[in-house]
Amino acid sequence: MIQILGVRRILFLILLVSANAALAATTYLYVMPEKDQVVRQLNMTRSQISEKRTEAERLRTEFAQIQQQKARFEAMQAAGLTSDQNRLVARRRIMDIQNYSRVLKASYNINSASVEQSEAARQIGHVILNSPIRVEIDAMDDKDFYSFIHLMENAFPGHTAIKNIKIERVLDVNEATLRAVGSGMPVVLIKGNVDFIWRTMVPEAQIQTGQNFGSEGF
Amino acid sequence: MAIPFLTPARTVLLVGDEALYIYRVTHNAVKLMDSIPWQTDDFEETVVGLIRKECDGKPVLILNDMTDQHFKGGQRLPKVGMMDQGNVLKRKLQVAFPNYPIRGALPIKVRDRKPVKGQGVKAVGGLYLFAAVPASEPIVKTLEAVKVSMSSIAGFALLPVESSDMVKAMSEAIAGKGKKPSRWVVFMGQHQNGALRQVITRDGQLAMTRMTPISDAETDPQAWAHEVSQEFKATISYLSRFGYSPEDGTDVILIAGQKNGDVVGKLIEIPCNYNSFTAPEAARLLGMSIGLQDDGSFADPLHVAWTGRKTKFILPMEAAEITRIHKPRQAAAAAMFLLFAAGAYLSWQLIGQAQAMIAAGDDLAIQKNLLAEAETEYQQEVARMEALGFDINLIKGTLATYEDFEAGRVPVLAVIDKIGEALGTDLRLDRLIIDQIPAPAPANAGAVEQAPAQATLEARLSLSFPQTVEIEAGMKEVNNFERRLRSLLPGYDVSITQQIGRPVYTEQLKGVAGRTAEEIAAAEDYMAELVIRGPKQ
Repeated sequence: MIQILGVRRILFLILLVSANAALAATTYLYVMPEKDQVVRQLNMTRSQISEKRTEAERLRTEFAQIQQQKARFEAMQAAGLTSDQNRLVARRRIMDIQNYSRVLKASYNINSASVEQSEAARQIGHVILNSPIRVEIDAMDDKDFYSFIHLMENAFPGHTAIKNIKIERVLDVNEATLRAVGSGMPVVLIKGNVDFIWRTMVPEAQIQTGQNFGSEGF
Repeated sequence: MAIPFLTPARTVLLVGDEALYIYRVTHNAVKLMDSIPWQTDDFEETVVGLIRKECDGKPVLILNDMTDQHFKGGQRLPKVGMMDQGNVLKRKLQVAFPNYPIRGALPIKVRDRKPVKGQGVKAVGGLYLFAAVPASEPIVKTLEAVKVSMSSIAGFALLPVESSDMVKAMSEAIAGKGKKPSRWVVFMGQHQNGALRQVITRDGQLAMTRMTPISDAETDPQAWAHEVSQEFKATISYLSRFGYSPEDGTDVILIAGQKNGDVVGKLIEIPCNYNSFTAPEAARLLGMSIGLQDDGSFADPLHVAWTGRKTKFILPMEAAEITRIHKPRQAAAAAMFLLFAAGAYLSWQLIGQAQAMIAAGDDLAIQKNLLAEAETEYQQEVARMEALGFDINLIKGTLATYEDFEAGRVPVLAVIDKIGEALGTDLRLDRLIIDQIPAPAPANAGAVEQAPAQATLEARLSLSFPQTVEIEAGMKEVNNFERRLRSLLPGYDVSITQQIGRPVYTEQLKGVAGRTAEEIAAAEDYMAELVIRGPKQ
């Protein structure tokens, strides 16, 4: 065969086969896997860039929001949302509201606080204190009555929400009542009672220290 | 017209009776490299050297121009299947030329396809021209030289057979476009070995060939012309046996010098279309170039150029010795071609992939810079948030808790506001009871998560009218009050549960007839009650 094909031709064939093998090995065993890896890295980097930019954008948006939220948070703190429902403070506040609303009398009963779980509060290590409040109100005018409950909802420490209301007109406005009013006597024309739910949030650790929450009357 | 880049460059070994003529054929030239007499001592080494060095080892075509060529025309094959046709043909060839190892068969096209002896041509399997060449010493020497040269063999062909289509092409070119060429064409040309080669075609197919020694044209042109005309006459007399008739039309083509050609033309007596060309002129007529020739009066460069540039031969001759050399070299050439193609493909793919890798790498470098920028930007935002100096989570958690509280709040004050607005200045309530109705527990826990239901309220409004009021007017007031409530509290259900002056049938009724009007009014019912429920979920 060597005599027919010749050494040069055979060597050339071997050279061609070797060159093809080298090309194939370089292409399929090195360049293509390397390219795939670079492309994977490229895609991963692009994904990371997108993620970082989204995160930075979120922080930027959040920063603007947090400025507003901070003011609201501080207002809530000042309004006693994070207070421990100090009964003395509550008593003074109800007296203030009674004076301001000009109801004749407001008898109140603040029950012992119960601890309530909330997912949003739990995430920041807080629990909810829930104290039912019942207020019996005597008023001369229904506007005073309304003013009282409005202030209880908006000016009481923490968060208060009306649960039930009962208002009743006990006397008609007639000559006798007008005379009594004119003489300066406190005439109860409107009577009613209101049930509130009073809620604040306190750190969970503060509850575990064994602080007691008693009831207050009048 | 040959296409230059498709025309094969070859070494043509023209095998003559006295010597081997080695030609180098390219797309635009034919060059006689050397002629080596058969008696040369180092014949093979010389030929090998010329093939390798002077002809660059190009594929070798062996073109037999010897006198010793054997033909058997009108060979008929029996009707056999397609699969067996090759074997039968080979067997018939062997039987026809048992002592000549180099053989070939050419199918003959039958004019008008007339039936032969009552049978159709197809029915008898077709007619063939058989050809054979003996394994003479010149042939053996030539093959040995080719074997040693390591060049591939393009083929082994017979000059008269391969030139028959050249003769036909020349005849057609002489006749001109659209005109029918003559049926008989006699091509004559003196080769450099001194012999006159005549190729005679009928209807474009080889009918006869003759090679006879004649004198040198340069020595005595008149004698040369006379010899050529005598040989022509002899050829015509031979052709009479093949059914030649001057009426069929005859083209006579002579390759010679201009003057000698004219002299021969005057000596030809039979009616014919006589043409004389030099070899370059004939090549131009055929639309090819043979380059500069020392002497344009010889015909062999024309034959060599025509056959040497062919991609397919009319009658490729086969021999065991040729096949033994040719097949492995052909296979090696095919393998080389495939390997070259594979190498080209792999190179293309390698370059493409490498470019893609480099581009991806460059892009990756850019993206890494962008990532670093994005990371810096992110860290700046984080630092800015941290610089705020308070616990963001505490703020968020507190606000979220407050939102939860608000979500559970029933809008009692808002409802009271609207009730007050609906009452106006003329009506007044005797009693208002508002109760919060807790939201019902989810019907099936664990099902698809739904938004938690909100607590609702139920408000009972009681109002009384003075006893002096007309019942219809009071009812109208109550109805109007209900309408105003509906309008002001669109998200609530408002209904009158008790209308004035309409004691419900569930009540027990007692009375005394004959009372005063004042007593009757006091006893009658002037109370109304409405219920508000909502907000609607």
